[in-house]
Amino acid sequence: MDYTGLRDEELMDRLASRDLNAFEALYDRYADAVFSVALRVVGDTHVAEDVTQDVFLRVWRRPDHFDVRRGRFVTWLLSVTRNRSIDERRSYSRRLRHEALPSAEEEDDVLPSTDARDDPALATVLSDERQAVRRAMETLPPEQRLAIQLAYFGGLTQQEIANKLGQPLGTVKTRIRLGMQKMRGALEERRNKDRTF
Amino acid sequence: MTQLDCPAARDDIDAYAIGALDAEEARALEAHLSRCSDCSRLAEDARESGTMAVAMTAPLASSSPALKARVMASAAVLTDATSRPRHGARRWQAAAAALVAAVIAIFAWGMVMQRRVDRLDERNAALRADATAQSTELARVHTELQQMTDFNARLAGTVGTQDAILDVVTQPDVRRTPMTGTAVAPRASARYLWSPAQEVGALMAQDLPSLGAGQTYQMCVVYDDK
Repeated sequence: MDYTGLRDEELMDRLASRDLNAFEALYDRYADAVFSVALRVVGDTHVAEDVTQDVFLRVWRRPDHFDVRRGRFVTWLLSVTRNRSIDERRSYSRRLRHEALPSAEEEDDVLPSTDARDDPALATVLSDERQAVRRAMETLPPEQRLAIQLAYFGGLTQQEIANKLGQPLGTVKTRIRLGMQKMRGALEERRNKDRTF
Repeated sequence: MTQLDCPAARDDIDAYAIGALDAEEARALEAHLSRCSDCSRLAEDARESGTMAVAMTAPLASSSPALKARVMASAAVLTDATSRPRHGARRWQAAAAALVAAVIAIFAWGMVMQRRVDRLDERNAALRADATAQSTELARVHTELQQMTDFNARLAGTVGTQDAILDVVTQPDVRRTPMTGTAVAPRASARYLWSPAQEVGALMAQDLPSLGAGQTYQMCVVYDDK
């Protein structure tokens, strides 16, 4: 049976009956996306691999934790990945306080403005959606981009970001709200185009 | 807990979607969402598109084939641990498969742990090297500081001596008396400066022979038959 043509939700249904082939199909489909988010958060390849393994084994052990009524599988999967990565990042930082992982802010300083940091071979297969949101992120004012990245990839609350940047809380809230509206707008516009064609 | 109205709740929805609310803010928003279907729908949209949009900005990285082997082996072990075949042959086959998978998983896990140990060893070695380098540098700085302290002490003594000589030299009635060494110290020479009005004098000697341990030079002055 060809599992590559099945939708995520169909594969998840099969996980309930312990179908290892369905699990492998999901892994092949999303391992790189999960690994990329984990790596962006924890900043260490080995730790990111441990997080990726943990996330997929959680999916395998408890497929019932995904509720199809609450949205797409990939959104849930990346949300689990982000939360697990933030936990690992905090735990890792506590263990090695003298050698803290680079902050999202520091990472932002070295992020190129294009996909040049990506593997060139992988860059060719980047989805339209990914390219659209990355372009949108690049066009955000730097202070909005930084606030969003500190929150999502750095695991900081708005108050913690305000303290870190020495900015009023209201300013940080506004930056996140405006930045997120633009990011969502870019993704939704891309999806609408996909539906049109 | 703060009661949010719809405008306040909608202000927080995007931050909530990317985990930027603190625990109390999140509880207040969730309480509102449980009561308000319109805001709840907007929050779902924000979570669906907002988190995806930000997550997809992470640079795409490729996971390794070794990781896939590890994950699939672990999943197989978990499967076999929960399945219970009833017939003898199937039970033996399942047990053998589980054993192989377990060995693979243990080996993979061992590699992961070894890699972690290696990383910690590398960090320890780097820290030890840093500590040694800093100790050496500290010792060098300490030695330099001691040398500078000694030099300052010698300089202070020299300045004091020069001040005393200057006092004598600048007297208007100063008398200068050159002196030569005796047979005991033929290379030695000296000058004696004397001011009768002030009754102060200074002896500047050079090329005096070195003295043995515990010995010091003494100067005897005869003035007015005393």
